[in-house]
Amino acid sequence: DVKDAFLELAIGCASVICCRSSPKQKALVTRLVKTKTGSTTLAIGDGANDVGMLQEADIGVGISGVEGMQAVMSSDIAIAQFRFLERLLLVHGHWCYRRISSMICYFFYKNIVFGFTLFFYEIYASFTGQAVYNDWFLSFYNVFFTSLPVIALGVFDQDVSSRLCLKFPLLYQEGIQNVLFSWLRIVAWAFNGVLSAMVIFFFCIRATQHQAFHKGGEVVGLEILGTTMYTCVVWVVNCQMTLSISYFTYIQHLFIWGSIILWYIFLMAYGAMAPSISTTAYKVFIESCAPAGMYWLLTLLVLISSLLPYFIYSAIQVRFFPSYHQMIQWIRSDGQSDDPEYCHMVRQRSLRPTTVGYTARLEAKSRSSRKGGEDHQ
Amino acid sequence: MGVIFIPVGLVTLRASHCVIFHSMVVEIVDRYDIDCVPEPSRMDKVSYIQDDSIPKNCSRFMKVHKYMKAPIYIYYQLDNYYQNHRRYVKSRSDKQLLDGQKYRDTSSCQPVESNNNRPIVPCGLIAWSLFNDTFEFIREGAELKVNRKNIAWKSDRGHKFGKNVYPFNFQNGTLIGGGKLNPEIPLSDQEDLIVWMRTSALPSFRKLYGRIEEDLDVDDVVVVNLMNNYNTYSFGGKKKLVLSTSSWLGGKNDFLGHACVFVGCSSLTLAIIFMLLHALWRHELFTLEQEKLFRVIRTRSTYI
Repeated sequence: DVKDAFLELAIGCASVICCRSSPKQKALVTRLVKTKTGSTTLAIGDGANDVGMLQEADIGVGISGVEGMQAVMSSDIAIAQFRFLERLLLVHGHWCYRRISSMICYFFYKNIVFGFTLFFYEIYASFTGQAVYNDWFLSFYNVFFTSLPVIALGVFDQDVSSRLCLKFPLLYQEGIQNVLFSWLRIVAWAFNGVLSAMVIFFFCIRATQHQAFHKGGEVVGLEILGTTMYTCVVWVVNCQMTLSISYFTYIQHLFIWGSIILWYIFLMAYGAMAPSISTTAYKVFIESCAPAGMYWLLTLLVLISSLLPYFIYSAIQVRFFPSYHQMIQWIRSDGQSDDPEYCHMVRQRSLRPTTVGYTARLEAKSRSSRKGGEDHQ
Repeated sequence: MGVIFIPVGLVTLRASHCVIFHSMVVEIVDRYDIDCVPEPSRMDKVSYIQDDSIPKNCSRFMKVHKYMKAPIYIYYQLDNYYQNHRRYVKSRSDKQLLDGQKYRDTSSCQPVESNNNRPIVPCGLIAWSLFNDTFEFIREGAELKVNRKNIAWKSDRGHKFGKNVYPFNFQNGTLIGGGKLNPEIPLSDQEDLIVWMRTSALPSFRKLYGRIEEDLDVDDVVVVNLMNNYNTYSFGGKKKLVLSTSSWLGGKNDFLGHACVFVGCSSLTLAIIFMLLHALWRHELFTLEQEKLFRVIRTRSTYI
C-alpha cells in the first residue's frame, strides 16, 4: 500500500496533476489529503464525475454549466465560471471569515455586559436573586435592542473593498492562520465586556445612590436604577458596534441608531400601559427619568467612560501595530493604492507559485511584456 | 486621530458644568440612632426600642454651615437595610392596593397576608415594615413648617394606590414591624406609605420625609425633636437625618463631578500625547509602514 509514500511525495511538490482518474479515485485522493494532512480541502468541479470529490472535500464548489447540474446539486457553493473561484476565495471568503469572527466575539461581549451588570447588582442585594431590571426589559434585550446591529455586522461588514482584496491576496492568509478567532481575541472581547459592565454598574450606582435624582427632591428607587442602567447598557453596546464596524452604509446606521431609539420608544409605550401590566416600569421614563438632567448626563458620561479603554487600545493598535488589512486601509486612504509601482511590489511579494486565475495571468502578461521590452533594448 | 478631540472636548465641557452645579447644593447629615438611646439602655438597644412604655423622644441639633435656599428637603437615611431583597420586594399586592379588600388573591403577601382570618390591607412585608420615626424642626424657638404633601411620585399617588381603599386590620398582629396607619385616610393620601413602598435599589438609601419651605441662613441652629420609634438595632442598621437642597441635577453628589473631571482630563492628556507622537513620527510614517508590510509578508509567507 503506497498511499503514505504517495502522499509524502505529493506534499513535497508545488502542484500535482492526476489525470485519467475515475470519480472514485478523485474522491479517494481528496480523502487522503484531508485526513492525513488535517488541512481544509476545497474541491472544484463541473461534471457528474466530480460529485464524489466535491462531497469528500471540506468545501465543494460546483460549476454550473455545460455538463449539467449534478455538480452544482452536490456542492456547498455553486459558481458560474471557473475564474470566479478567485473572487469567491479572496473576496467573499475573506469577508465571511472576518464577519463571522467579529459577530461571535461581539455577541458574547454584549451579553457579558448585560449579564455582569445583573451579577454585580446581586452583590448589593445580598445575592437573593432580585433582578435590577424589569422582567420585560430582560426578555427583550436580545430580541429588539441589540440584535439588529449584530446582524448588520454579520451580513454587510467589509474591512477592505473587493478591489483591494483581489489586489492583495495575502489578506486571505488571515483566515488560514486563524488570526481573528484566536483565544486571545475572544478573551480580550470578554474582558472588554466585563470592564464595560463594571464601569456602567459602578458609575450608575455611585452617581444615584443617596441624593435626590430630581429637582423635586425624589430619590432613586429600584425601577429608576434599572431603567438608567439598562439605558446605559444599550447605548454602550450599540456604540461599541460603531467602533468595531469598518464599513458604514445606511443600513448599519439605521440599525444602530434605530435600536437605541426603539429602546426609548419601548420605554414610553410600556410605561404607558396600565400598572397591572407594566408593574415597575409604569411611567418611569416620562415621569422620573426624562425630566432629570442627571439621567442624560449620566448616560453620556458612562458611554464615554466605557468606550474609552477600547478606543485607546484601538487607536494605539492601528497607529503603532497595524495589522495587514489596516495597513491596506491606510494605503488606500493615503492614495497609494493606485501607485502601480508600489502595488506591483506588494503583489510580487505576496504571489506564490500556486496563484490562480486572473492575477496570475496579468502577472505573466506583464512579465512577458517587460521581458520583451528588455529584449528590444 | 483628530477624532479623539471630539469626545475630549465634550467631556471637559461637561466636567465644568458638573463641578459648578454640584457645588451649589448644600447637605447636612446627622446620625441619631446611637445617640438617641439613653446611656443606661445602650447595652441592650433592642429591648429599649421594643419597650412601648419608655417615651422615645430625642432632641438633636443641626448647624447650618452654608446658606440653604428653600425648598429644603428632609430625608431619613437607612443603612444596611436590604429593601432590595427578592422576597421582600415580592411581598406586596399591587392589585390589592388598588382594589382593597375586594381583591382576594393576595398570596404573594405571605406571611403578612391575614390576621385572625381577616385580610390585612395593605398586605405584605413592605407595608408591614413602614418607617415610623417622626421629626419636628424648630429654629430660634419658632417651629419650621414642614410640608408633608406631594412627597411621593405623582404616578404612584394617582394610579397605584386606590382612592377608595382604606387600611384594614393593619399592624394588629403580635409582631409589630413598623408604623401604624390611620384607617380614616385612603391609601392614595398616605404619602409616607407610598414613599416607603417604592423599594430602594441599594442597602443604603434615603427616602423623602417632607419639605421645609423657608430659607436657612448660615450658623442657624435647627433643633430637631424626633421620635426614635423604628427598630434598626436588631440587624445593625443605621438611621440618619438629612437636610438638603437640590438643583437641576438633583442632590449633592461629588462622584459625578469627579468622574467627569477625571475622564475629561485623561482624554485630554491622551489626545496631547497622541498629537505629539503623530507630529514626531510624521515624516517617517510611510517608510515605517513599508518596512512593516515587508516584514509581515516575509514572516507570513511560510505557508503555501
